[in-house]
Amino acid sequence: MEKGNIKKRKGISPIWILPVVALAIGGWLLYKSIVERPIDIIVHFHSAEGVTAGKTKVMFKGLPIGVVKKITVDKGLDTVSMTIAISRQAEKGLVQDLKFWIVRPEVSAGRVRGLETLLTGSYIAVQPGKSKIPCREFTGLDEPPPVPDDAPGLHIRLATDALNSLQKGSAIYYKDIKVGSIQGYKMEGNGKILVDGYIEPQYSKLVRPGTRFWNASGITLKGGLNGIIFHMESLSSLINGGVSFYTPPELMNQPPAQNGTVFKLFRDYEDAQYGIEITLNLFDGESVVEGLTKVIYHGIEVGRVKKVKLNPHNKRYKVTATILIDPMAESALRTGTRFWIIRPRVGLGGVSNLSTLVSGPYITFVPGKGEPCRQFSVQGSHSKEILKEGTYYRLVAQDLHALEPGAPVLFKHIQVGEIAKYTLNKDNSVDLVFIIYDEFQHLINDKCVFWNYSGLNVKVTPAAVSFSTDSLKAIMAGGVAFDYPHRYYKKKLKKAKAWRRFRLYDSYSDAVKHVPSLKPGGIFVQLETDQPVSVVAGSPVYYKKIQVGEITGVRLDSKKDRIVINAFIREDYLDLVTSESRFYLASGFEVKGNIRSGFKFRTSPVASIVMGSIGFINPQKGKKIRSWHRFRLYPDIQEAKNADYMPITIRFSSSQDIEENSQIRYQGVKIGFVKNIRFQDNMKGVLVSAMVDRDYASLFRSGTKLWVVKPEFGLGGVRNLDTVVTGPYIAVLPGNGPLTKALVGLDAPPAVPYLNKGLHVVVEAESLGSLKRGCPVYYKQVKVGRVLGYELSPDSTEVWIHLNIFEPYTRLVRQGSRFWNASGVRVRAGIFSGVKVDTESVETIMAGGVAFATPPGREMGMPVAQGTHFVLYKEPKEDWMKWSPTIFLSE
Amino acid sequence: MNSKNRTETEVPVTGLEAGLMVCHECKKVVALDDRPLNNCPRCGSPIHPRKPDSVIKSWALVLTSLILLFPANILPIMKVEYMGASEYSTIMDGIIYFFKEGSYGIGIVILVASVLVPVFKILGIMMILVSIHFRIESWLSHKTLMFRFIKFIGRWSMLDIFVIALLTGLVDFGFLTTIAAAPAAPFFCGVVITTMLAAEVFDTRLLWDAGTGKDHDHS
Repeated sequence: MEKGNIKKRKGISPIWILPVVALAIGGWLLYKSIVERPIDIIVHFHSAEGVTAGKTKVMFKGLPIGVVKKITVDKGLDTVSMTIAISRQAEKGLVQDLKFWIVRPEVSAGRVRGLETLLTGSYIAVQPGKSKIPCREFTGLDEPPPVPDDAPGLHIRLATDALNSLQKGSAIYYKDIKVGSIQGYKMEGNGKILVDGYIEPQYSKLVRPGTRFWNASGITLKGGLNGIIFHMESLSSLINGGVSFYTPPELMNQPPAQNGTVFKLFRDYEDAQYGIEITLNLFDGESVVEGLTKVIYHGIEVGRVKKVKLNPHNKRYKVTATILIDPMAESALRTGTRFWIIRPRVGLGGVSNLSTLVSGPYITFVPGKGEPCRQFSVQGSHSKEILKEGTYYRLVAQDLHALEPGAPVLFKHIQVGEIAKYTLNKDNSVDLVFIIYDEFQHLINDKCVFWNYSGLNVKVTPAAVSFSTDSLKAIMAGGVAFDYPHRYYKKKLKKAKAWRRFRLYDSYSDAVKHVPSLKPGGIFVQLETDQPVSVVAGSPVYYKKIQVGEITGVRLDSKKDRIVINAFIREDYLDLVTSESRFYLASGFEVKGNIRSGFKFRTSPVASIVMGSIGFINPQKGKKIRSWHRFRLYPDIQEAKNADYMPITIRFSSSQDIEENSQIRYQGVKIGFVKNIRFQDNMKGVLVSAMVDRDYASLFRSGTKLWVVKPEFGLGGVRNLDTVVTGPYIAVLPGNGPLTKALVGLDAPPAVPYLNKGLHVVVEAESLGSLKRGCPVYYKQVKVGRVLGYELSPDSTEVWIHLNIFEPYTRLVRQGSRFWNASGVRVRAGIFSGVKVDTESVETIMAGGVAFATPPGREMGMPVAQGTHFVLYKEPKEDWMKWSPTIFLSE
Repeated sequence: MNSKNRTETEVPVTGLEAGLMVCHECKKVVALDDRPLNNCPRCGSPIHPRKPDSVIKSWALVLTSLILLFPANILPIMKVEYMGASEYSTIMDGIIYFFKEGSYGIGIVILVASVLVPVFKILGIMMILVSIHFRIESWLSHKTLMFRFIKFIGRWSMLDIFVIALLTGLVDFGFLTTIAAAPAAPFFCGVVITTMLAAEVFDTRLLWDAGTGKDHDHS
């Protein structure tokens, strides 16, 4: 055994460093805690709601500087004292005017505040004081204190009449950014309210002496029928109230505002708009809306109506509008400046001021040249300010109709002038003054005949739209048209003298009646219908959307059961109307199409939407017509197009899922449609009336087969899937009998539909097996045809299965060909041969099929004729499979 | 003391008395002989009859842990930042929290593992050391049992630190919630480590040596 020895060691073990170090750290911690021990202060609050002893912190600029240690109720029971341990670092700040307040989550209709405390709990916020006197006992505030007056930033005052929803703490926004807040408000002796606002230092430069402040509290809703202004400030200002401001660019060069500047607080954004205020006297306040009606000069908005007020004492100008004009238009505000209101007008000559239909009426002006001026009166609506130069004439009318100053004077639908004003004569006739623009002076001569062209004022017509509302009537203000006899067109007539009086006829027909020579070249035709029509005299007649004439009258015929429409076709278009023309009522809107091909939406010209119109088509060439030729009027273009379709009837023993407008198709092509379906008299079966194209009339013979094609779902597949979308249709397979119009429909698709494509062969089988219509026919496992159908042989001993061999495979079938049933799977098993599984294709496993082979060489034989019969073997012989003759599919 | 009562004829009670030492590492028994042999002839590690300076080292370590025990319990051990507001809690706060919440089981576990066990360990080791100092002979086997127990539970006192380490890793949702260790954590670690070391450096045989009047400590 080895020997160990024992040594003695002396001295202090170095392990004692550890407790010494620990003691040093502990001592240092102790020292630090004594030096940095918090200072206890007492703060009195009205309520300790949301404050928890030991938890609630005192925050200064988001940093905790203390914590509530203890909460006690004061002797008087009306306040609570909180003992708060404040970090020693903050000792210097504990001065007399230090302000404490509790920040709690506050959500009320008035404001949302301290949301962050929802999660972190309430805290006590501190605002440092300026005093130098140390203090340890404070009184807490119930509300956050205002920003001290000498805090950096801009202190402003806003003078207002009503506080609205402003309150202490409401934000001040600039471009929706919060840049300051409302610090308080007080009522002045004169009833004005002075609101103290504070703008944070970094934003104070945004405020200039010319800055506009407005109350941005909540939602402003303004307007009338002409439109509504909906203005909402930020959500926060909606709840909190707020003030927004902006400085007009023109005023940005002013020096920044000084502390204590008093600004006017405008009621709202519109109110605060900067501009030159002018007053405009109006006859009435119709369609002039505060804040909405614009002043437009050469298409540019230069002002807005700010205020509209009544003038009870002014008989002429009952309304005065205060308008703010953009300073850029200042130079236009002179004594000679003429203002007037532009309202929308739709006449037959076109729509004028269409934009005002949408934007509402506006005010425009022509600058004058006088002294600067701020008060104006609108130019009357009895006389219209005319901007173009021209010659004035007069018209005498029995009725003003819908004419108004500004209404167009039309020559061949071209505006050549306008109505300037009207007056009522003593004999109750109306005197109209109109202007013909200079460039059209040559049109006016003594032979001119004027008539009222307010198409909509015609009150006749059944089913005509009746316009009863005043506003719409105003929109439909008419015009005056004139013309002079055609025979003078080529001659130079003397220009009529200015201020010459013309007579205004009530309508064109009235004018023609009095001045027959006015009638232009052209012919009248009659359109006859037994259905109500929505056209009126003046409605256009279109050919391919080009107006070729117009309706001159609508009347009932002598028997009162038909409506006869007189239409005038202009000379230049006479050759378009032939004996074969078909007229139809053109509705304003037209929707065309189906799910497969998409929809087409078409509208006609505005005039035809309003008044209806008539169109016509020429499906084929016809003879020239004479005046007053009578045409039938078709209710729509489709009817007109199908007018020469041949009616047929098809009897079905059951209703067959078809409906009106179901198609009739021959080889997939539409050749007609179902017009209506009704029960037969004996209530057995249905009688389908259909219209078919005459070109295909030869298809409808006594042996013709008709059946309904519907979607089919079966093990062998889905067929006619398209009819799910398009709806069932009637298929046609022509027969050989004599032509007929009364046909009998099949309840089921015919067993053997005839196809005039490919080769038709018949195979004779003992039984049908799993063969079905549509089953494939294979040659060397290539699909070369299909099963058309089957039937029992006439002696019922066999099943005859009809096959169709597609082009170009018809030559594969020869006299020597062998057919066999390729349905299913053939499994042959033998001890030596093993198992052999044979199938033509997956499709045949499911649905069956027929296969054939053709022997080579002499056995092949000749190509077969249509309808040749073959035997269908149950299975192929071994050697058939080896046959591989050379047959060229095409020569 | 009790040694007086022992008869000279008794068989040697310790290896040292029989002139034998044991290697601390490979437990090889080495004869205590005149020939100096400082290292284990088998594994080469230094050999001593008793762990050198065992009592002194234990004293130093246990005193260190006693000093560290104060900041460990007074300072906050865990910081929970919730929505930007940080909240500190000491070990005791956590225990009180669990008791208030009604989770007495967890509360007791933390109380035992984090407060009672360190205190018990420190007091226990100090007691043993004092008993050696004053050569108290009674309850020797109980004290040994207690020491074994102290050694056994030593590692479990790290539970708190372990929980905080886990939470720091698991709960880190940025602004939402973050948990971090607070100043007391290293002190608490210090307490646990020093008590464990104190138990480690202490040689239980000294208890018996002292109890039987033999003094081998200053070896």
